[in-house]
Amino acid sequence: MTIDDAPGSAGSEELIRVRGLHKQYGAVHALRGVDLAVRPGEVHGLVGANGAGKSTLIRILAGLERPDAGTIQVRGEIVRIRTTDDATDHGFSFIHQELNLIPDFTVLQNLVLGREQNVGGFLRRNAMRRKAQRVSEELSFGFSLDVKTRDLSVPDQWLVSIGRALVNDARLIVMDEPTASLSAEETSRLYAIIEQLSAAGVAILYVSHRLDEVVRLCDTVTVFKDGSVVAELAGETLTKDELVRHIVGRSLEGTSAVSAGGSDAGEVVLAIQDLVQLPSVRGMSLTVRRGEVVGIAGLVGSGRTELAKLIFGETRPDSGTMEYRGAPHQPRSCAESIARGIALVPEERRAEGVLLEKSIAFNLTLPALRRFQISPWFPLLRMGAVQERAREVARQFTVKLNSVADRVDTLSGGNQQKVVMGKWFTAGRVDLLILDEPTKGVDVGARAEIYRAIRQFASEGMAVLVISSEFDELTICDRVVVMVEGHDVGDVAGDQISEEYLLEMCYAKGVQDK
Amino acid sequence: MTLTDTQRRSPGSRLLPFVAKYGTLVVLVSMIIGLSIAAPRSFATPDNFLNILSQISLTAIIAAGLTLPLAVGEFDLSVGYQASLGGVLVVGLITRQGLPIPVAIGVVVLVGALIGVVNGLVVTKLGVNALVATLGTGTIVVGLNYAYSGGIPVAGLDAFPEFTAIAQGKIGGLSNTVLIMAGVLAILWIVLNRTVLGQHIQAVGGNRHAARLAGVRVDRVRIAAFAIAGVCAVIAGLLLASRVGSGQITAGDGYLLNSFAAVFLGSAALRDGEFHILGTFIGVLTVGVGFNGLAILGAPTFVQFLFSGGLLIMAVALSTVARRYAVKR
Repeated sequence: MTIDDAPGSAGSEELIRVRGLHKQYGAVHALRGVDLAVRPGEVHGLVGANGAGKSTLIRILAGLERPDAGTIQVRGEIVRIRTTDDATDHGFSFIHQELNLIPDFTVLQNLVLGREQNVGGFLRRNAMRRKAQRVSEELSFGFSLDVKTRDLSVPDQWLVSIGRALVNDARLIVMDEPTASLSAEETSRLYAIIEQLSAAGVAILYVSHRLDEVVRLCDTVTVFKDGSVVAELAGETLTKDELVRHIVGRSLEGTSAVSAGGSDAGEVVLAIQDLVQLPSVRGMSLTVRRGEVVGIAGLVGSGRTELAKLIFGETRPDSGTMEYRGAPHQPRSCAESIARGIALVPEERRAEGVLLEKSIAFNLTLPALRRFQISPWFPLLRMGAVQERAREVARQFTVKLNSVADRVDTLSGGNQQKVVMGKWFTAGRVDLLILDEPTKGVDVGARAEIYRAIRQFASEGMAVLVISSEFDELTICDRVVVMVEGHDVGDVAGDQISEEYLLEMCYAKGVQDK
Repeated sequence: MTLTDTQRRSPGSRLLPFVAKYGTLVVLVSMIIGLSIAAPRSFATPDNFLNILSQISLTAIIAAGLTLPLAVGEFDLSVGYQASLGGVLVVGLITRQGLPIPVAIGVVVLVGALIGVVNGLVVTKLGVNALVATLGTGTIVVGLNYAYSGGIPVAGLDAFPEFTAIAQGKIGGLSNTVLIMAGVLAILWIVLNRTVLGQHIQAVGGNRHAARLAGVRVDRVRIAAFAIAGVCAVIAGLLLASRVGSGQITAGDGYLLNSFAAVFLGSAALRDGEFHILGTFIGVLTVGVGFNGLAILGAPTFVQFLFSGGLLIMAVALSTVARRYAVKR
């Protein structure tokens, strides 16, 4: 075990030190002897493909899982974390993407939740308020402690979550993909807070797929691969290229450079004119042609996800027109859109894309089940054919699996996403494919495969619409439509597509242009 | 190496997944063993086994139907009242309206389907919580029952031995109701596992939103599940009327609790908290063996109520454990 000789032997000023952590789930060896040390005030990045072991390590620190072997030291003492309360007692705090705030509670109530001070069961309201007040000053909240949390913006809710950690006297805050739902501006605000926390001696474990952020923000980055630590980078060795090399285990050309294929303009598949659905979509126009990959670039709150749901028939517009393959498109249900050859890969994979508790085969064949009836008049399914087709599609989409009868939640995020995409091809005919944040929570290797698949679909004559808040991935598109505050503000095509240019358009073009 | 300090798993982490999968079977097997020892001559006989099967057949038909709404994520509290109405209506249609027996049965089955569709529409289109909706429709069904029957049992089946023969007859030593039960279970198993509707029911029960985005017409599926439950309920009701020889106004009401207990018990059998037909049959068998045992041991009536209520709570608790501690394969 080479990593045993990782740098920094048991210094007394270490906040936590993890040694030789092992965890096995059935046949899956999630952690194979992981070592990790974090100093107070350190911003420590955890990166690695999905399924590399980051989440398992965090679940163990949170008291949600017990390791099979290995030790955890806090300030030099070996501790056992049996429950989430234990983790809080050690000063560990966890901020997940979903934030776990109660929307109907006030900021104050959320700040002290679970740690309410009381005398004989009666709340010590003043003492709690004083403490919350201190935290709110520390983090310079721009809002009152008495507003309902649901009325706050997402970054402000982030502040509340961090505030809760500070109320609990957190010494270590674990942030899981913190910027996934933040815009660029909000992200820079989060950076400032992280730097402030770090200066105050709070250690941060920063889990993210966004390597640029990790490089910018972290003092040290630990790279996981297949349950082991493969590298610990700091200082000059900490670069994006180096991270990618360790995560993937090979250098990766084509992460952002899958060339946009020639777009010989085919027939118009989708034409949207002045589509309105208040409050989020306000006069959006767009065309997508056969064989074309069109991106929609928009910041959080620009209405891009709502647009996808309108096209797919999950919601209905207030006004405006949609034409699909030359005929008016007014779907009354998702099923109707699907029957016309429209497919959607939704943003929230685990909540919308897959049925986690069902098998891979079940998920892959769900939209196409009628194909497997013995005959249209006889409703029995040919289960053998269902399994066989599921295996074919899984192979075609290079889903890494043991058996299609396994539950989808045994797969990594990237492979789950391949299932979400693959299920639309089980039936065979897709004319318009809409992908909403197709690589959210997907590791670098699987990303490249997804990008390649998208180009492949277009070259087969499909019209593809890619919605993304990660503008660097929109370089795979032939054309990108920039969406600001619910409507289109401009097109960017070919070589002009770059992250910087798209960002600039998002910020520069206000409502006044329309 | 620092592998010496192993943090051990608590025993619960292995026990609960076992309970989730085999809890109900353990209950069933231990009851059978216990009763075989306590009353070897009256319990553990082939005759008593056939007797149990016959006793559970109607509960099994209702419970099998009820499995579908539960699998789709909805409750149906109206099945017992629907069974009562089915019995009264079939006897009335034969003796009062003079309909031929097959036609009367056909009409009753349609009425069951219709009530189910109404349940489904109230839940899906009006957005009423299923628990409340079916409590409401169930009470309306009781009202219809009284309106039709005038509040007195419907008799006069003596002139129609062909109808009473449906439930009272036997083929090859097995009571007809047992055979019909087997048929209903087989058909519903196929529906749930081998048809598009069944797969869609499972999808909607698993995650309604994801199912809709995959093109499942969620509302139709939910309505269909209620309709099938309604059909099963009235079939059980008309078999009950055939068995006792008259349409008793409240005859079917009591089936509700035991069917629920059975379906929930069944979800803690073999499949990690999912509602499924084979599990429901195991659940019904467990309930049936329990009541049969109480009768053989001569337990007073109040004990049957204690058993029935306790069983329902235990069943739902087991089902919850099964869902929570499902083993990920």
